[in-house]
Amino acid sequence: MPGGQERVLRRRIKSVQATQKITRAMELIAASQIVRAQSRLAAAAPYQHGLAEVLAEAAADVGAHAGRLLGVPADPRRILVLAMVSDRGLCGGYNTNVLRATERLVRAQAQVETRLVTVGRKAPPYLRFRRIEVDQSFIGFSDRPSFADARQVAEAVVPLFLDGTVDQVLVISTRFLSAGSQVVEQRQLLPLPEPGGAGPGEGENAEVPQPARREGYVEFEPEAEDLLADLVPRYAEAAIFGAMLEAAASEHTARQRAMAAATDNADELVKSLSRVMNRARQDAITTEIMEIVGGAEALRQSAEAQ
Amino acid sequence: MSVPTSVVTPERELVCVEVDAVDLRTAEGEAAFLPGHAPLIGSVVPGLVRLVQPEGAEIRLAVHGGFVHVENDRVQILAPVAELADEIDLERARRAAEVAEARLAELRGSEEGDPELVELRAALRRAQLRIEVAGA
Repeated sequence: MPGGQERVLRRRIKSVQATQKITRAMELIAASQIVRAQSRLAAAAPYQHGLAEVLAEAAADVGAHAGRLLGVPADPRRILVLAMVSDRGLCGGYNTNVLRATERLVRAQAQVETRLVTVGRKAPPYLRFRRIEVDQSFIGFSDRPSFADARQVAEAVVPLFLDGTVDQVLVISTRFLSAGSQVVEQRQLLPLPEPGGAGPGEGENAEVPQPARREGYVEFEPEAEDLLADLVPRYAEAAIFGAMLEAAASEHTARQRAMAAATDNADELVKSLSRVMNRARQDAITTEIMEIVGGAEALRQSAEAQ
Repeated sequence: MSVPTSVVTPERELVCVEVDAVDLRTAEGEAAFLPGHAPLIGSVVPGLVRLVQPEGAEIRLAVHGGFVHVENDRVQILAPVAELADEIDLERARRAAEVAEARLAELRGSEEGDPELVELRAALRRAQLRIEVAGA
């Protein structure tokens, strides 16, 4: 039946256009969220920087007495891995990249005992499907983490390190290096990085301010060793908060990029479908004209024959 | 003489002003920092922090723990939670204190190690601190 194909195509174009409206809206929303996430990230920097300075001073004073609170454990037997992804999908490879890195890490540590704590709704299904046990997961705040959320996560993680249940805590999350570049990174949360050491840097603190060599110059209240014990949980929760903010900014960036690509693809699809549809319509019109002409011709011939 | 002082929380820098003196409590007791104080790092006991400004005005804050870092004639208070006195919702703090007290009374006699008890005491202390700071 002429026109049938055209109708089918018209319906498909409509549906692509409807999807495009959604992807464009999501793109715009994500773009506005990036700005907000970035400003929250910037607002959190002074606190982390301040704590890093305090840590540097305290660590310099304590020296070798820090025990297992500082440095990189030589032979960790029990590791806790904290993986951070998003609650929602439609953000390109953002979640998969982190989860794949997590899977790789857990599998590589097969000979040591690992525990896994995750942030983001997308983590447990992926990992459980691959028979990786998730000990605890947090959901509901990945796109807009507050400090209270970070504290909640820290409370699930830090005590395990302090009481010796685990020797090392690793974080896998997406670092927000700039608006154009985010990378999945694995770094050590606890023990705290030795300031100035070659250990993995944490957030802004990769360039921890080196305290000038002036031991005994800074007063500590209480003693530096006790202070360090106080500092570890505070520093860890600030570092988790920082990582969550960076992950949120990265999530919005990934979503904006994915949705921009989807919008562009929809544009192209609409264009090529319209072309096919126009040809189908022209074909249908041509066929119809041929039929009319043919019909008229037949009538004329039959009239002439009489 | 004044000293630049800031109170920083994880989510934002709360205040950053020039002050004549900073009054707070550290683990070792009451402390006042005047310009020219020797470098010091201390842990802050939850309590009232007063920033005395040159014109005699003072900024009052409820600081729930954290650290104070005095260095190079600069004072930085790093607190996981801190509130300016004017930003405290007094009504809410009073209600929170009442709720915590009531629940504590109910739990009287239960064993000491109860996590709820610990949590409630902390909540009560927080509420009382807020009332003390905002109520003056």
